[in-house]
Amino acid sequence: MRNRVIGPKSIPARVAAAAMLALPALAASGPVIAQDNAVLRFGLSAYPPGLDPFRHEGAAGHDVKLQIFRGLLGLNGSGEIVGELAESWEENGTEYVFHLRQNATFHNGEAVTGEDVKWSLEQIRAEGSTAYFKDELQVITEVEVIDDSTVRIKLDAPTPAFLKLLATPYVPILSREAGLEDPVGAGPYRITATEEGVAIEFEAFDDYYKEGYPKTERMRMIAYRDENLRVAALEAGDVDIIEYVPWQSMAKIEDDPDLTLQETTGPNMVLNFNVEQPPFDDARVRRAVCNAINRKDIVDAAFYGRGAPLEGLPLDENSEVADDKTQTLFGFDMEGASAALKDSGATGQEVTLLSSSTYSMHQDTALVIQQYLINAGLQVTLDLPEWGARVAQGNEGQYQFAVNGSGTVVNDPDGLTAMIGSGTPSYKRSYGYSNEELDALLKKGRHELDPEARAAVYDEIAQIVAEDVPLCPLTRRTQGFGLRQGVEGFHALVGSASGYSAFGLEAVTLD
Amino acid sequence: MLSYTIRRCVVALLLAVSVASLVFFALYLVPGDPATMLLSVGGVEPPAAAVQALTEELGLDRPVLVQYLDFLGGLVTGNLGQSFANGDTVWSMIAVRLPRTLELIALATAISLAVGVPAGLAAALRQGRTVDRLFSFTASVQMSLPVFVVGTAMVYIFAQRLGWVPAGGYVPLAQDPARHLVLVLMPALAISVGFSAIVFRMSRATVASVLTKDWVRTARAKGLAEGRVRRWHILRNALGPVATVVGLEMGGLLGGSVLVEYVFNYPGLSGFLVTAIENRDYPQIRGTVLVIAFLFILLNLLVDLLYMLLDPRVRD
Repeated sequence: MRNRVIGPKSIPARVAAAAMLALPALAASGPVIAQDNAVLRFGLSAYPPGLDPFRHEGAAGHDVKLQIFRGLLGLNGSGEIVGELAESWEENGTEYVFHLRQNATFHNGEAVTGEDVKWSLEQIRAEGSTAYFKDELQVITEVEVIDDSTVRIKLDAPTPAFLKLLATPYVPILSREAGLEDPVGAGPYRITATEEGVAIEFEAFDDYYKEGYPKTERMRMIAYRDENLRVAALEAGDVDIIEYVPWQSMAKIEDDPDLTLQETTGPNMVLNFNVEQPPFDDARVRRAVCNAINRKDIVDAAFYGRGAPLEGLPLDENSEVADDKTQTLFGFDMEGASAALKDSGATGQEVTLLSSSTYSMHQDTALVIQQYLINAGLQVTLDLPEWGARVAQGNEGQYQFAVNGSGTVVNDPDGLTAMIGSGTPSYKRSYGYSNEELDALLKKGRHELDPEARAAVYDEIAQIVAEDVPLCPLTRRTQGFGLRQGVEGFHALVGSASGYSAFGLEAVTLD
Repeated sequence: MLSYTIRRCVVALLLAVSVASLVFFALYLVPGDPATMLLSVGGVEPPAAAVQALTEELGLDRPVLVQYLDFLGGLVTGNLGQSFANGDTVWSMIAVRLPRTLELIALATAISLAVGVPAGLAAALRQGRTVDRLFSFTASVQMSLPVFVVGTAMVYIFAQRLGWVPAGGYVPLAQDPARHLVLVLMPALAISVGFSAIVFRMSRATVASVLTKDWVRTARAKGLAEGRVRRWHILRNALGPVATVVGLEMGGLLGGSVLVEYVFNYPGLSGFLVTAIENRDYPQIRGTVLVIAFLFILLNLLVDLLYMLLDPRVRD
């Protein structure tokens, strides 16, 4: 079933007639839009801005890079860590030993060896590196090549998130021989052709280390920047899978018997504050704001009901520390919020909420918040610049409070450090916020290996967040993939792993 | 005529460089740091050290004036620089996009001329009659329809409902000629809806004014066949202003077809420019604007030369 978008009457009869005369002649030949079963066609949300193996280049970048490069570890369809180039591994506090697969080869035919692992990790950590995980991997003190297929990695402190970091697209192992100029990886596919700004063609790598994979011989990734056109391409049968299904189209895809929607929770929306200026230098005001918003309305207005209110730490839904103590810190209480604003002397003050007109979800979220805060007694005006300007304003602290999309890079509570810990000013953090007690606890949580002790640390962190409100959690939004009937073996991953779902494209079959 | 042409070409070059310089400095007034933007795709925070390293790698830590001289030096040697995003030369990226845009514009112009000029002539010759009223009314409707509405409706009808065509995209001619043609025809038709109406209005107005001239009456009076009068006396004299309008429209489409490119997922120059601006990819923005400005000026030059061919009086 499909909803009518725009009635056919809105087209001038003349153009319609002309097009009707011209198009069937071209389309009648049939194969023009016929589906080729040997090729998996994936609708990207953008053409990757680049294919640097270590940089962060957006969701589309991950989709492509995960096909050509692989690291030591990866994620299976349930989001669990599995071996990629590493067949097995042992961990002992600060020491990890990885055993590489004997049959792993790079696309240039060379075997993947311990030296390649060492070299790749060195490139990420090197002085002047622009790798996304440059800071994260400074925890490594030594990479020792025991033999061709065994590597020992030593860390300067126990780090429970370490394996999770390796199981992302950010730590690929590359051929040392080939170097960085023209990087060569060991992924399931190799690129055979690119049409700049349009599409990338892949062909299965015959010597891929997993027997029988990839399941589909050829793959074509086509960029559709316009979200509605991406959906139209899926409906028209131009592609088999699309990423980032827009929320307004999710119901339509669910109702279509020819299509399937795989929907999981993805990143979160939060409010950040500039704590160097009144009124948000006062924790009471921040807390009042956080209790004055009915989050359900944001889910409904900005996300078409696709998501859930977020009342606690902005962690993945399936985080190991997500429990009542960390997930229920704030709630909607208009009377309490109004009274608290009055007590702190903020009632009637003029404040500006920064958001961005580039993304409707950011803008709509800001509109809902504006209404609730006006009811609570604040005079809120909106500042809605384009995204690039909004990021710059955020980094420079040119705002009072701001709507933000937020998520951890991997499903680990240590991701909170980047959001509420002290550090260089960034639009992802509340400007000027620093809390020594919180910093100490975050550091403790980062290096605590015992799961129970670790959960207790984050319970304590949650208590401080509830009191001091370094950020205000708003909603958990969902992320959707659209699939055509007959596409099997694809699993959309949950939460922070959602963007890494392309790990599983090697298992997809078409019927 | 030759010296006139050379003079115009030199002025055109200077104009293009001035536009590029203007863009160069304007970019530094726009908030947003290229290194941060490049590393924070998808709204995720990049580590400060990585931003610093990239800033140095891209040469953005140098004084603006040094960067500007570097840019001018590059221009002299025909080097537009390298994209921040992927290190490809800007020229190679434009060279991929430009032919697609030119093809789209050429096709849209051809359709608009083929529909607009005959319709304009027909309407002007039957002023006030039913044909004239019908055509003029249709043209008003066409002009008031935004291109994204037309485009979205076309995708909805022809791709989603009828399944005759793919829902936008692009395929190189060599790979699949039929599909290539369909994919460029859809956006071209969407553009022609408004464009042909403009051509129609201009043709109708100029033909109508030429019709009142004495020499048209004379030509008819001396017994020339009506077809010959229309082709050689009326149409040729009426086409000058139409050529000017078409030239301006085509120039506008070089950087202004972004909406239609979005709707049809057509990878042309306009969408490329918008992405470059969003990413603060300075060399890409400068290079693209420079090329567009140059082509715009070139188009106007061609229109002037065409004028001379159409109207001998201008040559002197």
